[in-house]
Amino acid sequence: MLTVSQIEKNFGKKQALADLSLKLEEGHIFGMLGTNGAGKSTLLRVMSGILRADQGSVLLDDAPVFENPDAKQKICYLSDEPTFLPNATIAEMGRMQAAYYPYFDAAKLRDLCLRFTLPMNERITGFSKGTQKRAQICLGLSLNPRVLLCDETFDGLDPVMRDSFKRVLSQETIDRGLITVLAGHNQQEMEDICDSVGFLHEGRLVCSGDLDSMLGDVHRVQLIPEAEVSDDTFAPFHPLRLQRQGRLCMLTLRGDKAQLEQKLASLNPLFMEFLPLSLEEIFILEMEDRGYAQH
Amino acid sequence: MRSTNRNATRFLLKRNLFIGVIVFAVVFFILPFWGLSHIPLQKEVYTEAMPYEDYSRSMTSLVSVSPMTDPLNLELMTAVYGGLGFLTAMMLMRHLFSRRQGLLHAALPDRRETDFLRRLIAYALLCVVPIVLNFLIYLVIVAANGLMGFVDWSVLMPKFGMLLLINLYGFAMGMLCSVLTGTYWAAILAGLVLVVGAEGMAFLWNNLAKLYLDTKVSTGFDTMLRSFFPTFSLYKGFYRPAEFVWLPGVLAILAALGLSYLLCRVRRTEANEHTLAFGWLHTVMGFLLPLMGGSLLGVIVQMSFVTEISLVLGMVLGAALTYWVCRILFNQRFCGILKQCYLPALAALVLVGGVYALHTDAFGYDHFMPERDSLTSISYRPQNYHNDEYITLTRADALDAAYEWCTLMRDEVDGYPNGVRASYADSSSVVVTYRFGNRTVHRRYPNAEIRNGAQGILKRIIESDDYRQSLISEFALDTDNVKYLYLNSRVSALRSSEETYQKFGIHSDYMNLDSKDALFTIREWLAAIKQDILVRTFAEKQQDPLFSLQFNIEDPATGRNSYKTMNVYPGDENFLKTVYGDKAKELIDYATGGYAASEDIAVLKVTFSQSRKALSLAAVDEREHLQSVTLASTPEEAVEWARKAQAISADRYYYMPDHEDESFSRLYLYRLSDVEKYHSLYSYTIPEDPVQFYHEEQIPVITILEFIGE
Repeated sequence: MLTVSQIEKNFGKKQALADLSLKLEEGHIFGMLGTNGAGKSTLLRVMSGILRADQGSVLLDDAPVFENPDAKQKICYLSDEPTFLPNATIAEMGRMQAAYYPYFDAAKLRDLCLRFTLPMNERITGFSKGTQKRAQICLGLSLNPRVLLCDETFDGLDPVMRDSFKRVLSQETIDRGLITVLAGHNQQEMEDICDSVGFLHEGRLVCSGDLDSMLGDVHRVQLIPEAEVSDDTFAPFHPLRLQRQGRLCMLTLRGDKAQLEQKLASLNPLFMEFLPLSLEEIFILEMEDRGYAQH
Repeated sequence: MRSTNRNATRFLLKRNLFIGVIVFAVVFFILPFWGLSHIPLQKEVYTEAMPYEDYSRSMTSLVSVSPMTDPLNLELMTAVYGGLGFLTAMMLMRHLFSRRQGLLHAALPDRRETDFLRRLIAYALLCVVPIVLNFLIYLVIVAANGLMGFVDWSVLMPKFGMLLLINLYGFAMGMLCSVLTGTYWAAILAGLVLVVGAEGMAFLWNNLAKLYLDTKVSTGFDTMLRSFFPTFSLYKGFYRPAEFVWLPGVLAILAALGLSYLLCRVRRTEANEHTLAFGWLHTVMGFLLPLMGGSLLGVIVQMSFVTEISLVLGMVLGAALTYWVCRILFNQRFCGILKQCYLPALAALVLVGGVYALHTDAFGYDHFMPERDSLTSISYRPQNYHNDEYITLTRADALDAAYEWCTLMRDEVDGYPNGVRASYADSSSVVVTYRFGNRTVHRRYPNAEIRNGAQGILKRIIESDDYRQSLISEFALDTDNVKYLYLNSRVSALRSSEETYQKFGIHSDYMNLDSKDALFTIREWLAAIKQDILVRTFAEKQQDPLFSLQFNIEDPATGRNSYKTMNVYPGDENFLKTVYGDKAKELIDYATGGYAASEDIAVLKVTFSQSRKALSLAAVDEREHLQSVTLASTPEEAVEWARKAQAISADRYYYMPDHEDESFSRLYLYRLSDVEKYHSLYSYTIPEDPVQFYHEEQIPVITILEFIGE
């Protein structure tokens, strides 16, 4: 289990992470959504032991990650900007990984390169951006990590490759009990493969949970009540958005669906319909609720 | 599980193998290449036909000394070996200069301590080993030339050790600068600040101190700085390993590496690509760099305007400007000066305080006089004196006399107006070195008059065995280390006159002896002058020297040559007899005044109503104080006057006897044939009475002498 407890990280006077806690189980894929500058990359770097947290701790199976080679051998961080040794080939990067990571599997790297059509002995700097991403993922997976931290890893991949990698990732997560964290802006992708998600805003995890429960916790309802109702009527359901067009109300509310239905039914609606909400919409609503980019 | 540590080290070495290749190539062109191109050639020059002793010495020097001093000059050699170490460190730590490479590196499962030690191993294998390999190749070249028997290991190995130490020093500095900064240019700049900045500050403040302290030679400040940043001492150590004080150099290396290690452990990964890797460095550098910039600009402005206020203004302005530039460099963008502006203000305050402390001699530098009992030796070197006497006195009698003399000079310096160095005509500068039982050394540079009490003390010093032995040792008279010996005439009458050649059959402009073909003559001359030194009196030393002997002495330990000059006095009869044989007596008689008997020479005695010192201090036209001008009436009188007078040249004030107190006279010697020859050229009329020559300033004087002690 990877445990993040009350992490704080500052860059000079700027607070990047504040009192952030998280627990990640084996065999789960955690999606991390956040606004620009929310602290997603910083959190991943702290979790991978690249950056030292100013406060709090990151533990992998109760052992600290920072400056702990035993823990770091089991963690792979795929940065948003694929980085390799200058002028290195995939083969040479593999040799470096072999030198540092005891669980590195050279045969697996060869297989992955074959599968994703990557030349092992050409300079990586000559690759296109997407191919570099592929190389980075193959190198990362060949480490056989227990924790895989992906920072916008699928951005820049073509849809075919993206789909292939998602399948590999899902398989690895199931087969080896991998703890995977995906950070990015693509909510659809998160919805496709994540078991749980968290929203990061201004260095804080504003909400997190199972994807299903998160999707089931926020509801959009079209409602025409029999009589005029005030906004206070919906207050117990933490309204994220209230829009009115005449007597037609478009409500986005949070809470138990049965209770909400019961409450709305008590208003003797002339019309009531629950509309589906996507993760992206929930994310936008949550962020708006916290004052981010409100118009 | 594989051994990741060993594999990681191996990978690091492979990735950085190019460093080893570059170091090997650079050193190859310095050491083995030099051996390949020079040793066979030099072997032909030093033929075995030479006396074996000379041949052996030459060959030993060729294979043991030259490879460490000849391929590049010493400064360049130090810079190259130190620079190779510095650049190796930067290359091995280059992941600290790139944000992305830093992330890649920090993600690796490795402890920072382990990684640091791994890079030390990489340095040893990629920098030290190529240097050692080249050294071994050089030895193979020596062996291939059949000269292995001439290798003096006691000379070669310390120099090679120094070379490695300089390289290690460069590496340690490179590691420290790399850890402290986050970009290539900042690391190089930090290296310059650490290595050159400290030396520069020592140099600047040394010069500033000389402006204010009358006896300034070196302050504890620059010595202290050089101890912490021993680039200069390492460089000097390379020149003379035997005299090198190892401890500060080794301590500096250990301190730099230790500090790098500690800072490396706490350095933030996100500091890469920042100019300074630590927040606190902004404060430290924001103070130290304005201190350096302020010192530099202050001295530059002071040199231009020569006023104290210009120095202070230059310092304040320099501190402010440097701070501003630093802010821009640190933040990597244009920005204002106001943030933390107390730092340059504090730096300026320290600088101005430093100037004030120097101005008032707050630490009693000029008044310093050690306890007699604590001294083990006093050395002195007259500065205005036309020779290289560097005398070390250790025996009680001579040491007592020297101590008395130093006390006298200190008292005289105490009497100077504050901040004004004495420059009286009859004063002389002398560097005094006090050595103490605890091996510490203090130097002072008083400018004092050599008269009254000093005369008696100097007599005791100069006629002591200690003095004589020190002089013999200083000029290597008991050794065969003198490579060349030149004899130059010092009396202008001898120098310019063809008469000398006709009279003595020797062209006295110079005589030049080379130890390769005149070793016997050199030995003979040195033995003769040594005999003279052993009996030379103070009175003899006060006379005008007839000749100067220039020595080119080779240091057998380093192979470096030094040039020294010794005066030959009329009393040095042994030497003059050795050189001039039977004509020596005649030569002495002629050179000390006999030349004035010539019918072609008119001798005028010009007497002034003021003392010499009064005239020189008053800075008035001395002709206003003219008392009389008298022409020597007979050749005998001309010779008598010439013998009582001494050359006017300031370079011999050091041992010059007292002048008369109330008035003094000068002797003007005119060559009549020259007066006739040049009158159309310089447009003067020739007075019928030679007494009037003095008043016709255009008439060429062949020499002016001054009467002493009348």
